[in-house]
Amino acid sequence: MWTVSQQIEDYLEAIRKLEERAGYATTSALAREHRVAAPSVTEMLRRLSEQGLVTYEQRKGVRLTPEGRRRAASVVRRHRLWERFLHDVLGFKWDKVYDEACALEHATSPEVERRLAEALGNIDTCPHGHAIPGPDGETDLPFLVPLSELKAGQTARVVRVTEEPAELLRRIGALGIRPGVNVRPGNDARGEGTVSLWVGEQQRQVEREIAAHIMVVPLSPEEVEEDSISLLGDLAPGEVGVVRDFHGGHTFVARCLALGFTLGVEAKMVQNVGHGPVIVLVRDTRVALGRGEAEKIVVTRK
Amino acid sequence: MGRIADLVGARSPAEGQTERKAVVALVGAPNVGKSTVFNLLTGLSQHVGNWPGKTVEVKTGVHHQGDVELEIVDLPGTYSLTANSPEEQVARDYIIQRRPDVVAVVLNAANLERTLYLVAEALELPSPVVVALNMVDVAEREGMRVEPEVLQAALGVPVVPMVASRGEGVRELVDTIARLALGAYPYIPKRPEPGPELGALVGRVEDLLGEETPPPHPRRWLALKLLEGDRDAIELARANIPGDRWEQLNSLLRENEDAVVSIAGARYQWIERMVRAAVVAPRQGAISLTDRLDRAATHSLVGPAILLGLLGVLFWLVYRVGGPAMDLLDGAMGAGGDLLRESLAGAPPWVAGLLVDGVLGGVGTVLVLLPILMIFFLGMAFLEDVGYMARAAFVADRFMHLMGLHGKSFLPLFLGFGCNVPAVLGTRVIQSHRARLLTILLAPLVPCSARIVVLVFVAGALFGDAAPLVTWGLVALSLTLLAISGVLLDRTLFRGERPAFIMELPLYHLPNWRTIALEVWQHTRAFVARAGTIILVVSVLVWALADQPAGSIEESYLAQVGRLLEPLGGLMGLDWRMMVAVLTSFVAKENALATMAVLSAGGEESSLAAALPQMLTPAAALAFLVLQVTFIPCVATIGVIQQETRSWRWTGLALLYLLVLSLAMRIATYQAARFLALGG
Repeated sequence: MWTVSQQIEDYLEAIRKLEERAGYATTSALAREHRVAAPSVTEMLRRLSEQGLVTYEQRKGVRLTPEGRRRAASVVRRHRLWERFLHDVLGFKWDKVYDEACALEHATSPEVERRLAEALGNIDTCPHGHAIPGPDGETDLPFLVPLSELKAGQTARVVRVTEEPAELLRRIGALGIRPGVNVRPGNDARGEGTVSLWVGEQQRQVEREIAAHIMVVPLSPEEVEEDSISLLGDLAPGEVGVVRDFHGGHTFVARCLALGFTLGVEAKMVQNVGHGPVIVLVRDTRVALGRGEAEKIVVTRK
Repeated sequence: MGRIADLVGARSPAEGQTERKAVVALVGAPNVGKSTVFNLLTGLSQHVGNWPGKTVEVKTGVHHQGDVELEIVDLPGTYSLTANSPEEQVARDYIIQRRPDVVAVVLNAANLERTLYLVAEALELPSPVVVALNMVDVAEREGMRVEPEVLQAALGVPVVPMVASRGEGVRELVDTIARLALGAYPYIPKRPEPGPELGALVGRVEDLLGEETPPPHPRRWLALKLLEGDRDAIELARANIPGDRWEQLNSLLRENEDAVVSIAGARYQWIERMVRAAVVAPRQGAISLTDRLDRAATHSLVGPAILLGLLGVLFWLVYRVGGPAMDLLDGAMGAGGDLLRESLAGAPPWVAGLLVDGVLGGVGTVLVLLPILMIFFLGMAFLEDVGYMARAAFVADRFMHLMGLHGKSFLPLFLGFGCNVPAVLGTRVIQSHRARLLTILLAPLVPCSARIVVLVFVAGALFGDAAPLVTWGLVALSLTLLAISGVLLDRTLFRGERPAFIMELPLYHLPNWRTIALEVWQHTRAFVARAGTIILVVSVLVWALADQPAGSIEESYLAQVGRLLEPLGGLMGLDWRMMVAVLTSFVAKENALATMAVLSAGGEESSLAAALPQMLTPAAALAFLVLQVTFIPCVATIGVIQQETRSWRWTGLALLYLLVLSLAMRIATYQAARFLALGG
């Protein structure tokens, strides 16, 4: 059943999303979003405006009023809570949760919404990395830019990716991109339409069109340094870490030092299967370390 | 002097000429070929001794060249000279207290950076240093070229390039040592200097030490060691300098707890300068043979398969080569015994008994073990020499870790399935003293082949179709006990900081047969000399107890002891005959069957199988088997436990632990089995 109130909620949700991206929601963008003709969009916007949920500006499009913003945030909150539930609890893939959540969001009572949030531990992002608005409708949005606009060499953290379509999400997922992952564009893009991108230790060629759907927050050099702090045992094979500190008894530290693990030395992970001992290359020597030992050496990733 | 020393041109001193003598201490990190250098210099003239109060071996040997006699002391292989392990303590105490005329530091040219660390430390000590730059061939194969003259100029100490595996450079090394010892070489070492900040700190510590620095310790060295947090150095300073100044010093040291990191950092900076100067072509990033081999050897699935495969080959060798050799020796001993008995026909029967059953029996036990042991020694020495042992430890660490053991403990324990004796001897590959002791204590819990023979025989006679299940269950039981004991000992007796599992994985290289042969020879000799003596004595003692006073086992002291122990046996459903069988199995586990045969079936093992069901209820048999699996190990194992721990205290503790464990286990088994109505 497609009720008027559901339709209103869907429109508010869409306007909010477009506003987040561009500041305004245009009639044509909304028509594309809802796959309907522009006149019916105009008709709907007129009704929303009458109810005091949006303000309409000539040529620009619409913006949400405070009341509209509150109602939209409430829908988005329900939608994203459901996405989390589907993804985390029911094990849905991240490219499958959007449509399911679209159906569930309208049938969610405030009581269900509250319990859902509690059951999920009051988590604050959806599986794609979008902030879940709080019960009062407020969200803190960091300064976000699309990945496609990032300069070469600028490291940034992925905050969120588009929620749909599923095909695009699958391709983003295949690149190893997830909210929280650090990326850095290189300056050797293969062509106009692509971006060269470092995702961890892997270099990828990403279509500009896809990159535009990935929102990132640029990191300062200090943040990059801070962010790259890790334990030797957490490095993946091939990754290089610079030794920064030791967490261990005196005997342990002395033994590390004698074997060449001095501060500032580069240690390259050779073998790490996630459990059991690891093999590290340091000062041209292969050294085997127990997992416990490898987790007592602090490094910064290179 | 040995043949090997002859090969490299060592000559006895000419008649009538006075010898010039010098003491040389050989130090080096593990995997630099230090023992190859030592073996080249000393051949078979080696003597193995112990540093007072430590279970660390120190080998000495003599080398003659021209009119020079060098006494060479092979100090334990260590990465540094801080008192972090007994090995490091022994190495540096020797250099400080005995003041050798020359300290020769062996380096691996293919791994210059890390092996130079020891040079940085040795230069702080009073004895002049010679650098033996070994393995220049390996370095060249890896695409590195080291210029010895440049390194010599940079270090300010003589550097001798060597390929010890081919005997190259030994003559030059000996010449250089002799010249240095005689003061014929201008010795102006360029010690690593700490930066200005660190240098000032070292100066302040030196000032606080003042004139109270206890000789023969160099003050600057002591200051560095204090800042490095060296426990021995701290004790030394506390005991020697006045209280108020010690307080000042102690708080200065506390404020600078991280100095150890800066000192090591400064040493490595110094090393990096040396390496930049002396290495012409740095190693290329090419994938070496070691990389390729390690992809399989340390793989999380293939690695264990390779390890088990290699052990399979070792056991196959033991049974195919060692087994027949053992039978041959056994037969020869039997024939020799008969011959001896005949020739002693005129003497009183106890003389023949003593010589044939006691002495020859004991010698036989030692001799018969030798082929197996030598094959195990050969296998272990080979795997260690080619560089595989570190990989085996890496693969096994995941499992051994749970018991607080080092990955290297796996191999010796696994060897225990063949025989516990090589298991105990094999613990030598474990560097950490604590892990080694723990492994030795656990080794007797691995069911050896002799125990499995007794197990299979008795279980077969009593349990029929269930025999395989019973056998399997008992083997599983003893392995479970081993694991539990490991966890318990780790948490109680061996509580404290576990040895860190940080281990170099050396480059693989071709085996050096001379080193391996000498290793096998030394281990064999040590076994015969130490464990052999104990085995012989105990064997004669048990013979005497079983023979005296009446010349038959039924009325012997042993039987009396067995009868005395009957109440204890009663708890387990064992009569005095079974208790005697248990006691004699102390000499060798196989003896249990022979004794039972003598006492119950007129000496025939074939009729024993028929007689057993009458002697034992199933519950009692189970108890007997549990005790065979867990009881005190055989005398040979105890002999080597004493040999390896060099402590009767630890040997006694091992015995006591196993005794209590088996007593509890067998009583529990018998009572449980009776409760379950297996028939009491």
